[in-house]
Amino acid sequence: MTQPVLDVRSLTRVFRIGGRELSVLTDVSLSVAKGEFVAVMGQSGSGKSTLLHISAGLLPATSGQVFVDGKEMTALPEGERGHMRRSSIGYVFQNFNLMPQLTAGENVMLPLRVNGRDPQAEASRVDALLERMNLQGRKDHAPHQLSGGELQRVSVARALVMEPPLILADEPTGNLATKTGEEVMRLLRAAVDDQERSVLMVTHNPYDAAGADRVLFLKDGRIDPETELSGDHDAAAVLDRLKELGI
Amino acid sequence: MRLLFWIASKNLAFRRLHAVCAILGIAFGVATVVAIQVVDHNTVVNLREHHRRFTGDPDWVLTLHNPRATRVADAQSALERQPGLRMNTPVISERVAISDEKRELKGIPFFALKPEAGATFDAYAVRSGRDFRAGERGVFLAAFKAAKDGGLKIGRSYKLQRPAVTPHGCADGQLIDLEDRSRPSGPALELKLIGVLAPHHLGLSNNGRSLVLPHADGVELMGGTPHLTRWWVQLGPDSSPGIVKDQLESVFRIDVPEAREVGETREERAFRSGVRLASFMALGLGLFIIFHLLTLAVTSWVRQVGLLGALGLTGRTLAGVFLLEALMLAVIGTAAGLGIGLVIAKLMLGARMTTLGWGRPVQQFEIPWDTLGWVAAAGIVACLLGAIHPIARVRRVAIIDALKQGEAALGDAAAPRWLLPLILALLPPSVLGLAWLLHPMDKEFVEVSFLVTLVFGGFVMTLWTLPTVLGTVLGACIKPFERTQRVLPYLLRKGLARGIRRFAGSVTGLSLVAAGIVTLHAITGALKDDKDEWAARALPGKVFVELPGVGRKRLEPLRNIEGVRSLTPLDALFRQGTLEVRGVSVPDVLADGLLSGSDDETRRRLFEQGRGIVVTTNLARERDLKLGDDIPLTTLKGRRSFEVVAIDDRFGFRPHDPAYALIEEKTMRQIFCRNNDRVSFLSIGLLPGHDETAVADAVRAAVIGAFGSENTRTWTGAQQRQEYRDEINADFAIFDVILLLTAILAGMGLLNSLLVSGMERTKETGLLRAVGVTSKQVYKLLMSEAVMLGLTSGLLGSAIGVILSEVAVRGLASLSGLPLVHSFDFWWVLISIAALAAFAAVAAVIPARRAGSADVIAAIKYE
Repeated sequence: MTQPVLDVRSLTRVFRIGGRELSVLTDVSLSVAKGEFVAVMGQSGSGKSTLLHISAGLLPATSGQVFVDGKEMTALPEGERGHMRRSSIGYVFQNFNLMPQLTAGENVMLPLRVNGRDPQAEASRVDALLERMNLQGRKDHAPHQLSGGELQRVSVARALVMEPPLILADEPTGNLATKTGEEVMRLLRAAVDDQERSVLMVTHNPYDAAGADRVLFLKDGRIDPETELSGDHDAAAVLDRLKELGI
Repeated sequence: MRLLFWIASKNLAFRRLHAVCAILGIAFGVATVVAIQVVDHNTVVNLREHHRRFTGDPDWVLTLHNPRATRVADAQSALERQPGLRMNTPVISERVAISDEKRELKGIPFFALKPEAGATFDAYAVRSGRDFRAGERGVFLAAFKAAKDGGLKIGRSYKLQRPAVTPHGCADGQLIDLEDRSRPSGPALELKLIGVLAPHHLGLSNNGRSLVLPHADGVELMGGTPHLTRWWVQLGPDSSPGIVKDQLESVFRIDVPEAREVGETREERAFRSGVRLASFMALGLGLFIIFHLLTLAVTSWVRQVGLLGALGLTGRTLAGVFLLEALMLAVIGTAAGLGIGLVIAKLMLGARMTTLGWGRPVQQFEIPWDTLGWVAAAGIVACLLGAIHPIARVRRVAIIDALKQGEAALGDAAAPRWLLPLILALLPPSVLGLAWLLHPMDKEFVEVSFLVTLVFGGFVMTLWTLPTVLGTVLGACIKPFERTQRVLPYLLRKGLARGIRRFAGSVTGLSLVAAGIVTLHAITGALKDDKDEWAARALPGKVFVELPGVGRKRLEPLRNIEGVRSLTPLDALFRQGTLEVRGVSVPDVLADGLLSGSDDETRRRLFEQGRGIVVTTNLARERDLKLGDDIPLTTLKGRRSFEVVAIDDRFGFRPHDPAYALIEEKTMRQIFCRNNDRVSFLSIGLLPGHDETAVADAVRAAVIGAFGSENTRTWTGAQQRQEYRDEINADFAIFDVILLLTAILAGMGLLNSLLVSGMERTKETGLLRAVGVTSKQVYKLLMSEAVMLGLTSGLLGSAIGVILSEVAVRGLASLSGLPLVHSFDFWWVLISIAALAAFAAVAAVIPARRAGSADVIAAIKYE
């Protein structure tokens, strides 16, 4: 069996708020194989985003392990976690998080620069990616000149530009209209199908989840492997499972 | 590095207005100090140059106490053996006739000094030809106009001869000894001209018509016995002046040349120290505002820090980005500050505004690069320190929190525990170090600066570290208004609670301006009061007359004018070292009520016998003199002591005149050959109960009737006092310039703070507009916050200003030795509060209008 791109083992995360301990994730395990698209669904506050943050090395785990591309992210010091994020992970935020002082093209170029690449040599790659995202006319526009869908497409392009093996998407369509949301989902799906990237996406949207290869359900901080949906499933099946689980 | 530079430059370019304000804030902070330092440097340089424009630059000038008892040759060999002296030269200053077969120039002054002393004492510069060689004789140098007038050619020899001494003449400001009266012409010497002097120092003497000779030739010209020999000495680099002085004082009178004393009298020290203290306070304020600006600049990028962190940039690289941004702002701002400061200094000096008052001579402009280097370094370090504190806080914010909350995430993030103690620990040595670097060897200045900085720093730290207290107090003040007005006070309170750190920082900066206004006024008030007190003692009941030099007897009819009590000519005066002595007749002294009491009989007799001296209070303070103390004056017959018989200011008249002494008029004539026979300045004492103006009118009519209106002027003591006050106010204009620069600096800091506040709250104001708050209400909200900022700063600043004033005036009194008194002026407290509130309101107009008129959708989308 090939090594998974993301391997989460017995992950637990406890927050201490106002002197009280709040367990957000409890003994969560999951894996995402190369070229696989996995969606995680759950109620608000169920720990979906925390799972993604720990997977990206943005939050420490209370216990458990996270392996990205075979390296144990949870055991790495901050500097090396940063290096992993630079080279192995692309992150798509719900609220885009583009740098307001950079143009769309410069935002896409940012990870390349952060990785020390020569911006002139990489210009054609950025142009091609923007074209693939249907943003070729928007390259020199500032973020405040773009629509929500365009902002998220720039965000996806930024996540893909380093060709990382793993893409983490935090409700990527949460702020978008249905049509633009579909467009973003199509781009993520294409990254999986055409380039064999692996995607772990958290979402509330059953239609988005239906586009994933597998759907995991997070309830009370736990993922029950028995509840997983895999193979052919449509939005109705996802909705049924959500009802079944009382999510 | 390319990445760091790219992000930092993008950050700066994106918020141009913010960056420009930050740069201007830094620039004006640096410029204020640069301007004062450059003006102070040039004040001293120019005044020194003014005082030594016709002479050399020795550390001391020595004169034999008793030329009869001590041979010049013996004194010379004693000086050669004296440890602690780097160089000495005897200096003869006399007149000669110079001639060749075609023409003769008579009465040309010559200076004779050791051939090797010229360069050491910067006595002259050779324009053409050459200087003396060590030990050379039989040669001379001619100043440029003497060479031109006499048609003197380099390489040719000329006859030099001292003329016969006139029986009633004076030599070197003193009456010549009896046996010298019959002295015939000196021997004629044939000397070769080897060089022509440039118009510099001795080369400028007698309007460029003078000669310089080797000392040995000078002695020969004087027939072996010059009337008076002085010595210029230069101290060795490691010598102890006190010890050398003690060893020499038994044989020599030691005078410190006026050029070396520039800015060192008590009054001058007080004024300069006041200016320096003010500029040091401006420096403190400037550095704080720089610190605050950088804090604002960095904290406004929290969300970007989160994003860059999420993209994998390490904390160190992120810190690098913001340090680089701070460095770019610092370098550009400091460079601009140096330029602006130099321009301001040039303008101030052009307007003859100096750190010793208005109207001092300004001929040259020098840039003290060493000092400016330290100021620039301090500015850059303050910027970097300003960045380190927020960077340390930003680095402690979790990436997720930074991404979600932006600047609000900073609310709970404290800097590392070690940082504040470290800054507190570094502050005192940094301030001491900077004060020392700016004013080396001035221990008292460093001490007072340190004290002021401690008060300043304590206040800054208190506000900086306890913003929650400020937030609670202000919240409690606003809450009652919510009963009558529901929206605005509520939003104001909530907004303050959210941005209380930024608000506290701005309050700190602005309150330092209020404190500066109150303190500066206290300093200038105390200095002005001290000067005005002298005017109050010296000038009432007087009328002054300027005349074209008329015989004294011709003034007698003025005594018949009603109300005139005494006529005191003040023409007989001479200077010895820095002491100015005037000759006044006994009846004039008595008529003015001085030494006329029954207890004064002994002292009056001493004065009449030419053994008593009256000194002004300033002179007494300057030299620590009390009644009964002796003041030694050097005469050709040896040292003569005068006993202080009174300390009184009644014979002063000039604005810059508070330190002088009076001796009996006949003694002045006998010993120092100065007299009041021809009068060009007359002080008229009035009988009690007579109106100064009426007497002045009568005197004016009589003077014009007798001598015509040309070159005459009559004015009253009250007018003189007013003139004196006007001059004091002109002198103190430099403080207003400092205040203006400080205000500009504070304005930049304030505008920046309000801009950041506006940007920080773009989304918030957009949301408020979206839920129905009108743009007018948003405008009012931001304006109210600004006015509150101004009022809070004014109140806190005035309170700290009152404490600072006490510290500063006391410090200044100890620096100068003047009895300065701090008088609390409530009006200035009110003015500073009102000014800051108005100032804040004006500065808030642009950000408030921007927020009020912003596109609601764009504002909501703003990240």
